[in-house]
Amino acid sequence: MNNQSRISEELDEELVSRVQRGDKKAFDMLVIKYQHKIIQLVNRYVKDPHEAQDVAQEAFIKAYRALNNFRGDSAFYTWLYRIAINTAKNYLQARARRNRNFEVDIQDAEKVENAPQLHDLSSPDSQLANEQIIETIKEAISLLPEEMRTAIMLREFEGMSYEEIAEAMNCPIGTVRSRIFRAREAIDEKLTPLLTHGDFR
Amino acid sequence: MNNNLKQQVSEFLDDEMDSPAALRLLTAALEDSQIAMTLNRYATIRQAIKNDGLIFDDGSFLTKVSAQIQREPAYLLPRRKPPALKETLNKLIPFRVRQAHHERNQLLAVRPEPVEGLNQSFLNDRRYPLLALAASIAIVAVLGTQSPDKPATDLSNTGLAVAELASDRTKTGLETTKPELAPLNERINDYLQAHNNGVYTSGGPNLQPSVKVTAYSNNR
Repeated sequence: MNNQSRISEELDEELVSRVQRGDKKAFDMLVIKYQHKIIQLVNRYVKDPHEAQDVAQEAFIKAYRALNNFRGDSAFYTWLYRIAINTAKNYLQARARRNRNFEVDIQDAEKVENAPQLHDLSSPDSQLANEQIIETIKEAISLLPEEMRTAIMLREFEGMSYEEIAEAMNCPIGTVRSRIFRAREAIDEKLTPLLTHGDFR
Repeated sequence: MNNNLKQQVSEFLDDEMDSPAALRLLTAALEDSQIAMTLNRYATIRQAIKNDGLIFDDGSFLTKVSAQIQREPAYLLPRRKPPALKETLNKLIPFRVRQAHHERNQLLAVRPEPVEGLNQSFLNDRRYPLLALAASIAIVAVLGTQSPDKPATDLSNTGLAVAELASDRTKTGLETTKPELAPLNERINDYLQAHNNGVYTSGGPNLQPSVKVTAYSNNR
């Protein structure tokens, strides 16, 4: 187990322990920490950002209900992933059954708001918005100073730790920390207007 | 939101923050939605760089989950058994202080002076308290059975006096193995005899109600 994982697990243990003692806010912190990873994971199964969020939400609720039985035999992260994958698989099975058995009456179904069987897996509008965001980010990255671009690429593509990046770039860890942050900030400046106004989901 | 806080968010996203600092940041994120939003945007940038499916959360995800969690019952696992008093004291009092206290007690401990001729190992014998208790009971029993007309003058001779008394009673045939109270009139007679040598006859045939006796059961 590397240092990053150990620190992350320490934090999880503390938060889980708090939830088990009745602190619901601690569970909110776990949601903040893992929501992005869980939504991404679920999205690989359901292949729909809207539904991925709903299924991920269900997975978190299931995790909360089962947390009383969590004894720390495995890492919380692993345990939560298992719940998310099972929830996503159950969702896919239910969706398959529904699509097989449900005789769609288009006119009736259109009257029902948010009827799941009418969801497009990805609407043209949201696809366009997503492409726009990705182009914007790529452009922002290309405009970054060399050392900032290298630092964030090593971090995001290679998954290297700050210490490893510092060794690779022959600079102090503090510099790596700062370069990665400034790279994100530069990209964020270009991204925020799109996220605020566009349909990006 | 200042840059220092944003840098902490960046660090947190990369799992490069130690636990206490991460806990402080998460606590702050619950209070300040700007922190959570910054985290969401940085996460979206990560997804875009990695070419993952792009899903940006505008903060509604946490709100929805949190609202549902609020409707769920809170966990209240059974509390741990409270530590024993000794364990608590051991935690509260530093080891050096406890050790010094123990050493002082060792020095101040009152130890009986060795008695000449007394086997010290006897005092250390676990049976010693039982023997002492048995002896005490024996003394109380002896004192309790002494008759008022024959008080023991010396406690050291109590055992001897009891033996003699038992022997006398056996000889006179008055003693039975099971002591029983005599009828009331006999006890009154004995009392009066002991005090004024008078005895009531309770209206026996050919006897006065009260007569003087001179040598009735004189050796009791």
